[in-house]
Order: sequence, then C-alpha cells, then structure tokens
Amino acid sequence: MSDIDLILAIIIPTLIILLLIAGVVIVIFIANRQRIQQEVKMAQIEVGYEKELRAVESEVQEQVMQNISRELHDNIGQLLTFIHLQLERHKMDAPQQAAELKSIDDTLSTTIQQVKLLGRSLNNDMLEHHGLLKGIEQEVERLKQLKQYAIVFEHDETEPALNKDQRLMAFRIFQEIINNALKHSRAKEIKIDMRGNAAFRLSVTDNGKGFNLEKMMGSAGGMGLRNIIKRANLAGFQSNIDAVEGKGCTFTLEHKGI
Amino acid sequence: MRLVLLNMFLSCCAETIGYVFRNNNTWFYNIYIIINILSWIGVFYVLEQRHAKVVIATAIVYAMLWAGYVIKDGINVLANLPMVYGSAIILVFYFMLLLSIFRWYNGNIKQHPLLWICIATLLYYGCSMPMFILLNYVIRERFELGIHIYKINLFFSIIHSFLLAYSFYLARKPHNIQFLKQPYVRH
Repeated sequence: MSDIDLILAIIIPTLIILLLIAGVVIVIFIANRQRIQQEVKMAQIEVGYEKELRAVESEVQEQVMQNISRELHDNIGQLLTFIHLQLERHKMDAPQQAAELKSIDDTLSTTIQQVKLLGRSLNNDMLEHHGLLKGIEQEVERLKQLKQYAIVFEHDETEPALNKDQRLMAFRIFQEIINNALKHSRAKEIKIDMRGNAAFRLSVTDNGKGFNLEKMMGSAGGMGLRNIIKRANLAGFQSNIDAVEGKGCTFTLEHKGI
Repeated sequence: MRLVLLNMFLSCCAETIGYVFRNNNTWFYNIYIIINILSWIGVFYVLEQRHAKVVIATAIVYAMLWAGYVIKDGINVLANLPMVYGSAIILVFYFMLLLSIFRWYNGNIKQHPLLWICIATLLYYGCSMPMFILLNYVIRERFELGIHIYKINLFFSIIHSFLLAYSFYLARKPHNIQFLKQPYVRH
C-alpha cells in the first residue's frame, strides 16, 4: 500500500462520514425551520380566529345592550313617566295626600333618572358623539347617584386619540372593572384616573379586599379577568392588574401607539 | 452540562499527562480510551434518561471488550479497535439523542446547547473512526506518515472543543438556563 493509497483510505471515508453528518444536521435544521414556520402560521390563524370571535361577541353584546337601552328609554322610561304624571294628577286631585305622596314622587324621580342614565350607559351613541371622557364622566355621575361609594374621577381634560372600536372597548372594560369592584371587592372608595394627552392611560383603583392575582387567574373565578385582559390585548391595549390581598386592586389600561 | 465539562477537564488532564510520559504513553492512552468512551456514554445516559438497561449493558460489554483486547495485545499496544467500537457506540447514541432533541424541542433548535454537543461528538468520533482503524498499522509501518495523519484527529479535536464551547455559551442564555433545569429530553 503506497502512502497516497493509505492517505486516501483514511481521508475518503472521513469525508464521507463528514458529509453524512453534515447532511443529517442540515436536514434537521431545515425541518426545524419549517416546523417553526408552521407553528407561527398556526398561532397566527388561532389569533385571527380569536380576534374574529371576540369581535362577533362584542358586536352581539353591543346589539343586546342597544336593545336593552332602547327598551329602557322607549318602554320602561315612558311607563315611569306615565306613573309620574298620574301621581302628579293624583296630588292635584287630592292635595291633602300631597305630603304622603311626596316620598313616592321623590323615589320615582330618582328611578326615572337612574333608568335614563343606565340607558345612556348601555348605549354607545354617546361614546361615538361625545367621546370616552364624557362617557366615563357620565358613568361616574350615575354611580355617584347611587350614594353607596365614594368615587373620584381625575383626568387631564383630554379626549384620548383612540379609534371608535378602541373607545368602545375601553369603555366596556371600564364598566366591567367598576362592576367587579362594586360586586366582589366590597370597596368603599374608587379612584379613576384617565390621561389622554401624550398616551392613553386609564386606571381604576379600589380600596376593597383585593385578591391574589396568581391564584385568581388560575381559578374558574378569574375567567372574567382573563377575558378582560384578552379583549384589551385584541384591541391593542396593554393591561395590568396590581392586586394585594386586603389592600385593594389597581387595574390599568394603556395604549402607547398614538 | 456539568458532565460535559468534566469530560473536557478529563481530556485536558489526559493530554497533559500524555505529554509528561511522551516517551512511552501508549499504556496511559489505553486507560484513557475506556474512561473517555464510558464518560461520553455516561453523558448520554444522563441526557437521554431512557433505555437505561441497554446503555448499561453496552457500557459493560464495551468495558469487557476493551479489557479482552488489552489483555490479548498487552497494555503497550494502542487499543485502536476498542476506540473504533467505542466511536461507533457513541455515534449511534448521539444520533439518537440528536433525533430526540429534534423531536421534542419546539423552539429554534440552533439555539439548543445539546444539539451542538451532539454535533461536536458526532463529528469528532465519526470523522476520527477511519483514522482509528488504520492507526496501529500506520504507526507500525510508516511512523512519519502516521504523525501527519494524526493531525486529522487534532483538527476534529479542535472543532469538537469549539462546538462544545459554543454549546456552553448557548447554555448561559436565560431561556436555556431555565430549559436545562428541566429534564433534558422529554419522552
């Protein structure tokens, strides 16, 4: 065996093995890249589907709210006004009962006012025409009239630059957060802060019993919160929940892409 | 990763001791062969955590084969065939590991340190195999040429070390630190 034969006898199998290993590694790299691309594609389809689902869900919800709002205004509101007129007539017919009827009249007036405000709060026409700031102001006004909670609303008097869908989503999320605070947290004070000047930022802080966020998100009871976060993300908002057991909760909604 | 580091440390020690006994170090390299091959089988055993019986049986059979060869030819003749068998075992095991990583890792596989450990090991032991087969013959018949041919082993040894260093660099990345705390390969 000459030197050249010996060298070739070693180098050729070495090169073959080298090429085989390189081939396997290249195939693995390509297959891995394709798998990642496929996974990204699937994730995009899933996000798109979820987005569509949420959009339909919101649309249906809005439609239901519009119907309830219309019913409150056209039907219940009219009936209450009719009762009010009947009461007024009764007061005129029997002035001696006017004092007794006054408390009923007062309660009825408050009820009419509450129904009117509730109708407006469910209707998004006001949001479209007057903006988010006015919408939240009106909602705060409605809650203040319940006289059960101390509500403070601070803002920079600037309507945030959000599109129609974002405005509606921010308002509905705000309503849900307030509703959660009133229903579950046993809060006595709620502080709302909204900034729209440089970027949109809305925070709702309550002094209720708070909760363990990690535990809550993992439980069935956290579905509402998970939904809020999901909806906020789909509308392009960043949301943050800062909750401590026994020390209340702060929910923040932000949109920096203005 | 600690075992791989230990293996690299053992290699350094072996090369240093081999250099100290450079006049007659074949006996030492014969001992190092069994340590080296068994330690890489050990790394595979820890990483794969599957086929435990097969791996242990392979290690035992390999150790017996090595012992038989050394007893037959003497400690002063380089045990090149056990080196070849050991390389073949390592090739099979690390190829299996490579496929396991590909099968179970969902992220970018190029960022996975174990992939580079597998490639390094496959390259070194795979490409050195033809040289190991003919090494004794070359040293005995054409010593000068044997020294040149041995440079192939040095070349792949350098690549092996670079790839292992790269895998350690990747293992320092935050997502890999988290990942390496879990079992290496899921089944």
